[in-house]
This record gives sequence, structure tokens and C-alpha cells, in this order.
Amino acid sequence: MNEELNFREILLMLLKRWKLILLITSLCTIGTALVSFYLLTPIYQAKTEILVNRSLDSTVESMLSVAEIDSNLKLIETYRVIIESPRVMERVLEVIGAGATMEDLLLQTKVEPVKDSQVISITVEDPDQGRAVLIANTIATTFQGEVVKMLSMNNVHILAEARNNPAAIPVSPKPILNSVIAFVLGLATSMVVVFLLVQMDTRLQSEKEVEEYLGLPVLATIAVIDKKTRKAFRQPKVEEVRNEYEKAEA
Amino acid sequence: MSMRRQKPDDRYQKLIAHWEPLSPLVEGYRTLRLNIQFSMGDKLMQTILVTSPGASEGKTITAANLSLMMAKDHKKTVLLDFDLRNPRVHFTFDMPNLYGISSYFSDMCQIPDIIQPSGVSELSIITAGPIPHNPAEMLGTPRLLELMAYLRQNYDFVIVDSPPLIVSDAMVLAREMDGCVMVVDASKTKRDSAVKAVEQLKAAGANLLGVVLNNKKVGKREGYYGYGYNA
Repeated sequence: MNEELNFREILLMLLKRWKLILLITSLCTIGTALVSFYLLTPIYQAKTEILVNRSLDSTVESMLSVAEIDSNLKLIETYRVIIESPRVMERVLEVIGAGATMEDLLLQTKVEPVKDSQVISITVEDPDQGRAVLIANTIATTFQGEVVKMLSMNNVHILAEARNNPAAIPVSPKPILNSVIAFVLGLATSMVVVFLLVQMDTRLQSEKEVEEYLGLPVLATIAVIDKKTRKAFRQPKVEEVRNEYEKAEA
Repeated sequence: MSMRRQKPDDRYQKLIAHWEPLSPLVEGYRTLRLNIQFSMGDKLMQTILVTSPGASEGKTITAANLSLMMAKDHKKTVLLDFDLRNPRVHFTFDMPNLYGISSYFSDMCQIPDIIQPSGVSELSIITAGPIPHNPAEMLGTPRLLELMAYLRQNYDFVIVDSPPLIVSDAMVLAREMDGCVMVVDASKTKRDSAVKAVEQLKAAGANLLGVVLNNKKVGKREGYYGYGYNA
């Protein structure tokens, strides 16, 4: 194959095999869409937010110094670890009942401080929306109770409770996004397939190729005799002869 | 043997140059005739061998239509079926093959006895005859030279349909011809086998005129001028 394939040639090559490209791309897209819509379990999300306020607790009216903010941040990090600790999580497991393990619970729970604030958000993902809400709220209340017990500080407030929302849209899977990704990937794959097919096809298909590989002039090009033309040429007499030959061969 | 058998439909492919003189397909054969005549130059290009790298790539159809074009150009032409292993010309022209080249080579007939009229004026046909046991050895005898000498004397053009280059027959024949045309099937012939075939022909000392690109898929947009004259 000539190394210098120009853009026009590539485009023509792809256009020539548009059916294959269409087939592979649509198979990928439709397949992914079907799987996303019908096979994958929808996952719902529930979120609670916890406010940690230290200065409220302190009797001294202190200036909000850099050190103060820094210690606040550290406190928030400490609280995050506490939330994820077995002490809190075991309680949650008791509340939501059997069938759940600590690992699963930790995997579906995401605890992270909201940036530049004293708020910690707890996000829970679960196939069942009610369960997600229950877990999120249980974590928040359990944590609140534990903090009072452990640190004897009542500085944790639940800012926003998770609520059951009947109109909630699952966070995953995202069928449209998945389909778009599948479409792009399918398009790319089919193009690679076409390139490979063209590279593997070593038939002499054009005058250019004949001259390139054989170094001989093309004296004439005969087009494919299509079925319509072939039928038009079939003379009745020859048809009879043909039948006779076929009988003799049988 | 069964590998070389063509499909029943293809075997009776018609002599398009005869039935449909205005078809764009015939334009291809017309171009072939002209190009062969041009490539003659000063040299006498009286005998033309039609061969191909592999089986059923369109040798017989090309040879038959080329000879028809020559005859229609009012040149006294004869078409020989030298494919003694898998003869096809008598099918194409719908004629008996009781005696032919093999009968002459085995001393059963004289040359004039095996020449048959094709039904088209100026065109005669010599069929292959019964399939012999030793086609390769037959071609090595001086009878081949005698036959060619006779035909050169009596005809303007001699077109020879030959076996594919996977057997040695075509090489033996190519040496005795003025020119050689290689048919390449665009939907079939592989580069490597075509390159090998060209090397074989060159090694045999053939005068390779060029290639006929057969069965090329022509897009709607690339249609020939005059397409639709006979639609």
C-alpha cells in the first residue's frame, strides 16, 4: 500500500464501506443503550450535610485567626475518619438490617468536607432510594450522638437531612451519556476495522494497483456484468441447452 | 477438478459483444481491441494469447469477446480453445466439441477439419476436443508450430484461450505467440499470484502486452459515457 494516503483517498475508502461502519456503530450504540436502560440497576443517591462549629462551643470570643481555621480543618478531617470508623458504621449496619457488610457500606458511602467550609457532606448510593436516604440519615444522627459521647462537645448539627424524593433520577447508569460514548467508540472501531480490511485485501482492484504492482499497462477494464444485464442476454435457445447439460450432469 | 468448475450460470455467459453491441461492457472490449492494435506498432501482432493467473477469472469470456470484436472489424479471425484441461469455448458459443485441437494433436483430424464456423461472419472457432490425458506433453510437439503456421497464413488474427498460469501449458503457448494478454479479476485475483504470473510469463519469453481488468465494480457515478443507451 502506498504510504502517502491522502485525505481524499481515506474519505473515499470510508465512504465506500459506509454500510459496515454504520452496522458496527449502530450495533455498539444500540447495544449499550439497551444494556443501560434495561440491564443495569439504577443507583440512587442520598445526601446529608453536617455542620461542624467549634467557635460556638468556645466561651472565649476569639479572633478567627489562621491557626483557628487550620485547626478547624483538622477537626473536619478527624470527623471524617470518625464517620468512617467501625464505631459509627456498625451502628448503621444494625439499623439497616442484615444482608449488608461493612465493606459494601463503606464503598457506597462517600464522606467529604465541602471545600472552604465547616460542612461535611455524606453521600450514599444505593439501588433503593429509601435505603440510601435511611443510611445517610442514620450515619448523620449516629455520628452526632457519638461525637457528644466521645468528645463531650455538642458542636455537630445536621444541616440538611436526606429526603425521599419520588421524582429522583438515578445517578447511574446514564443511558444517554453511555450511548454517546458507545457511538464514538463504535465509529472509531469500525474505521479501524475498515482500515484493516483494506490493508488485508490484496486483490488487484484498480487500474492504479495493476500498474503499481505488475508494471503493466491496463489494456481494458470490464465492469461487472450485473444480474439485470445477464438476464437480458440469456437467449431462450441457450437456456434449453443449459437445461440439457444440467440433466446430463445430474 | 471441481474447484475449476464454474457456476452453471457463469458458464453460459453470453457473447456480449455480439448481442449487445452498444453495451458499455462492449466498450471495454472495443478498447481492448484498439489497445492491442496500437501496441502492435511495426511488429506483427497476429496471434494473441489470453491467460490469467488463476482459474475462472474471465479468460474465455475475454478471448471470445475480443475475437468477436476483431471479426466485427472485418478481420478474418479464429478463436482457439487451448485449455485442454477445462475447455469452455464450445459452451460459450454453444457448439459441439466432438473434435478439436486434441483430435488434431493425436493425429485423428487434419487442420481444416477442426475449424468450425461460429455463426458470426469472419469468425471461426477451433474447440479443444476431447480432454486428453497428457495435455502438457501434447503442446511440446511440432504440431503446435504447424498449426500456428497454418493459421497465420489463413487468418488475420488468431486469439488463443489458454489454461491459467497455475499449469505450465500457458507458458509453452505464450512463447509461440506474438502477444499475450493477462486477465485479472478485480474481485478475485491476488497481488502475489498476479506478480508471480507475470514473472512466469516473462521467464517463458512471452511478449506481455498488458492486463485486462475484469469484473471491476463500477460505481454509479463512474459510469461510461453512453450508459443507458439500451436501458
